[in-house]
Amino acid sequence: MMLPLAATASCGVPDLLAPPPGPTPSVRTLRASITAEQSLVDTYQRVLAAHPALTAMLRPFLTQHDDHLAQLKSRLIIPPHVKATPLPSPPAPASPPTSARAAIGMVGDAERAAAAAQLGRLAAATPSLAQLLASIAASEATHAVALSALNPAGG
Amino acid sequence: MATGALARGDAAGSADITALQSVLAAENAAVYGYGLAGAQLSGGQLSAARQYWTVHRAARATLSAMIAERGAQPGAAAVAYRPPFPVNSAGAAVSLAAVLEDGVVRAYLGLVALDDQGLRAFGAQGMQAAAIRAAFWRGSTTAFPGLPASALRTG
Repeated sequence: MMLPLAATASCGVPDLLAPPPGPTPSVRTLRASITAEQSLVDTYQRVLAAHPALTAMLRPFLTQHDDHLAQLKSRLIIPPHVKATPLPSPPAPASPPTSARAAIGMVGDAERAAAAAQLGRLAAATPSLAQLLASIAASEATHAVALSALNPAGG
Repeated sequence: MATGALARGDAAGSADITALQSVLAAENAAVYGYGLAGAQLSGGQLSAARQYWTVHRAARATLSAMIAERGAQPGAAAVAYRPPFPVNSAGAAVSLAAVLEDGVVRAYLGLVALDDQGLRAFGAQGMQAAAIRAAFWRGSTTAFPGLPASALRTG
């Protein structure tokens, strides 16, 4: 006996014609974190391009953000049969201030904002992703404090 | 079904208490350890040690209350704690302070893996504060405060 499709769907059989399920909240959280981290890296790179003299001061922080980004990306696993949706591009960072001190203040503000935003993503994350995000947020909080203590030559 | 839900609730509550007791134990160790470290410090470092000792005492009280609210007995502090190395100089005291704060960061990280969203946020905030203090003593920041190397993906 052949059942109509509508009958099979109501019996708990997966609807073969339905689109594949969308990303889980945790995956959406991970993608948002990657975009945010990329934005922070972009901010550092723009500041360093405008103020190469700050490289020695800021490079250690940027290196740690590169590490953050690598860890986050390593957790985004796209199954081979799924067409990967490109990650959204982060918004273009603001132009760095002409003053070196103000430029450091700009990255410090970005660090504080990033740390706060990571905390807002914890609820939707799996336990292990939440721990990674919290650790990254803690790192960003330490960056913000360390940046506020920097004293660039020439102001 | 109700029994299963209750069992899951009990398990979650038990996990919450276990994680909170771990944080309390780390805070107890920090209170004792800052007493050891403070005996070797002077000037601004002694002031910082005193300030952080007060912070850890307050955190200990908060955690004890949180554990008691959940119907459990807060773990008692040990009479004494053995430092991981002899603390007979200012340099060793600074190293001990960094080690203590690293331990506190790791303990708060445990809260971030819980289902309770309030405890997750509390844990993440505790991580940030302790990571900032650890960076103060160490004089540098780290990319992944609290996370063991085994939790990080390579390649």
